[in-house]
Amino acid sequence: MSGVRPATLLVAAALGWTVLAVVRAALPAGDGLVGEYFTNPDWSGAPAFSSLDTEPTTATVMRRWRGSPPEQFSVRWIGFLTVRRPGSYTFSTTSDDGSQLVLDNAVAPLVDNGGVHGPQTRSGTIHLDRGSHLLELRYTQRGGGAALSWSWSREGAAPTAVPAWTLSQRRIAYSTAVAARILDWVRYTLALLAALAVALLVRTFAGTGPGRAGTEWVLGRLRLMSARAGYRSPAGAIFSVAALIVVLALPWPDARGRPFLARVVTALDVLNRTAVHALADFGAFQANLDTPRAGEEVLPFWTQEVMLMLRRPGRSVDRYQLSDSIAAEDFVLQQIVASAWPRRLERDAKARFVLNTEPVAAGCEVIERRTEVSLVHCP
Amino acid sequence: MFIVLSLSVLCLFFAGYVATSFLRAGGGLFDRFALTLGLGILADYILVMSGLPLTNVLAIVSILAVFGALMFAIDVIRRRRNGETRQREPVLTAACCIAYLLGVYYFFVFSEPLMRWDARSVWFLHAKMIWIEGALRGDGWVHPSLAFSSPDYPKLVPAIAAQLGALNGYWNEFFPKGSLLVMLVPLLLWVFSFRKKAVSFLLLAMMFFFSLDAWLANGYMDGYLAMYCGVALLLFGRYAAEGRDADLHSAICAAGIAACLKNEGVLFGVCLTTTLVLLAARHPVVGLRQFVRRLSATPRFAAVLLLAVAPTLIWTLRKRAWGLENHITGDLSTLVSRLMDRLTDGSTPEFILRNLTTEATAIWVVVGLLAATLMFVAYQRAPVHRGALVAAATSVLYFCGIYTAYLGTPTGLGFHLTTSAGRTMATASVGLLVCLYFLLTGLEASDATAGETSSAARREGR
Repeated sequence: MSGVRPATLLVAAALGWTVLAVVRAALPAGDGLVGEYFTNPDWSGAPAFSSLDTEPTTATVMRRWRGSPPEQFSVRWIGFLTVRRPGSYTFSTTSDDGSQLVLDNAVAPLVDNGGVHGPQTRSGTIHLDRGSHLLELRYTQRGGGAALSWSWSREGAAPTAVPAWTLSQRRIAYSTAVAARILDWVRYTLALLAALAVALLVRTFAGTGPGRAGTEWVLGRLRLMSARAGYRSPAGAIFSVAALIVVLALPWPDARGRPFLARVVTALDVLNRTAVHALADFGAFQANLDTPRAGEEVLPFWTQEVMLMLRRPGRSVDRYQLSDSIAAEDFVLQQIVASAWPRRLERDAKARFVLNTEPVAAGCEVIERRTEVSLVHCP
Repeated sequence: MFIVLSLSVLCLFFAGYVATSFLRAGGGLFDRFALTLGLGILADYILVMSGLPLTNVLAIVSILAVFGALMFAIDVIRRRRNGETRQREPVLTAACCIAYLLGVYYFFVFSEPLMRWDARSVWFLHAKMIWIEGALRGDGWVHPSLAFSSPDYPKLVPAIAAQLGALNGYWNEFFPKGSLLVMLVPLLLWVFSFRKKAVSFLLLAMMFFFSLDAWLANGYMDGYLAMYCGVALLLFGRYAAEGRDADLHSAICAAGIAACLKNEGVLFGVCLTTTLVLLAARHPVVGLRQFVRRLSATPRFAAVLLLAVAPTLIWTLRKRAWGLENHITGDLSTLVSRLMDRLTDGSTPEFILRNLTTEATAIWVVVGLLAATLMFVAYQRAPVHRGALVAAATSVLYFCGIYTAYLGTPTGLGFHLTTSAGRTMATASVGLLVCLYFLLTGLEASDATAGETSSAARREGR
């Protein structure tokens, strides 16, 4: 430590931490299971909300319901469990009321602790290979007390809690999980080093640091650097840089987004790559701009078929209507209205677009039939 | 397309030069260019709003541009003959940055067709309607099948896109997005007029561009709205500190453009005006009394104000004449009862607040930074820039306005928040960023007098 200045250490630790935070965000390991919370006890219908949970336990469940869960509810966690060594693993759940653990999409739950009961433990044993395994943990609460915990053990060893770093949303290699764990440890170490550097800086400023000469050297350098950068005081310069680092390290502007630095790097990368790609295939890029109606291929298929029939040479359709099946798809309906304008959607129009699977109304004549949509004329 | 766009920007610039030459606006090179282009854009929009055929609008703007180019040439020659030399500014690095950003955005914008919902179903559908009709007229906007497309929204960007269509003679899903690039030019010039070698500017530029990057290219207006509102606050803040008329003109122009981008721009204008009335009523530079006095005594100021406000006023009158209603404010009595119901149901107010601040957005990041910076600035006894207070108060008022809009929305609240909270909060976030920028400049020695109105600077500015 004696050879390293505290300010240098602080800046290096902060920068290192920020860079590692960005790298860590790119590793899909240890990010937990996707939890779906239902307001009914049987996981039916759409979930009331979803969240990422690294510890599927009673405490997590209570926190997600903000301390006041419904009388009856259920939760389903889905994700991957990554194991290092192949072997026989025993899983247990302790729950009040029911819980079930399903591994690798098996039809029967590995641990079936279902039903309405007080705290009760059930176990199941399975052979797992090294790597990721699809995992589904279900919990239901039908009133009364609530409890949930789960554990695992390998080859008959003592059961322990399943570590959060083994749970992820995507299938990953074990080495990825280990790399993520190492990164986490290095980040903690850097945070400790930064705290140590701050303490040393405080001591230095307080005049109790490593000698008068050292103190003056640090203060002199800081004053010089901050004056050169146009700041009133070294503290102002340090604060501004710290503000910048904080902004870069935090998720912004999306609450659930990546650190802002990662966003900036990605944005610059996308901007540059788009430009390079466009320049490399400049003919296609320019053709998009110069060709009438270019870009319509991104429209929904039904919309494209309707537009083809409306634009058929020699056909003059000023007003049209859509069958209820087509109109039921809000997005398709809007895209048709937007694309077909100034032709107008009117209820009493004689030109009618229907799906090929729909029966044509009596008295209507099919004018054109395409893959999925037909144009019929209804007098 | 590059040539069409370049000529369009040049035409709008020279059309705007007619106004700025009359204004004899001071300020730096980038500010002058941005103001000139901004006024050109507003003048062009007023012409489109008047209902003239697009071909006539293009002809009038071209004539104005020729006239402006002549004035520009005469000005340059006269200045050279009189031996007037402007102080050379170190603009090369900034000009390179602007050129780079415009270059990459040119490819970024045109690499994706119009496919996002707002872009295709609102803004560029309106553009196509204007292009097909050949003018902005009342026909078709109230057709029931178009109700989804919010026909009451302002038409600035659609008007520019429609004119690009008139120049090209056809329509597709790529080139109308060129209108976004036209809007980007004054923004870049204004933002880079604040350039300096300091962390505050780096933070500002980075958070401005990279928190909004996708919304500057995909055809949504939210990014542009946030940027124009942010730029208006920046310019107003600089005017409050330095008293240069050029900044006041630019601030009004930027706020005027913001009001023509989205209805929220009008809300921003109301919030900014309210802030000035409440906070600066007696201020010697930005105070209301000073404002009224300036309005009556300085025709130039009145002209800029008129150019900035006229499009919104004309559009309001047009909407009324054409029977276009906003889906939130349409029926006032229903709106009020919905507001009261949601305010008193015990959960909705908190639900909206949580969504707007921590769940759909990370506005808390800026709020936290602001609080820390404010404490540090107070501890350091550094001057607090006047612009910081205006930016903070306007952002808070804007936040309250958006919050109220969500309380009154007739569509499902969960759906509405999920699909739009991140975008609507962009303006509030950018406003708070501007406040943070001004607070950080207080820590810089070069801005030692930021909080004090420099009479010398004022004299120079006028």
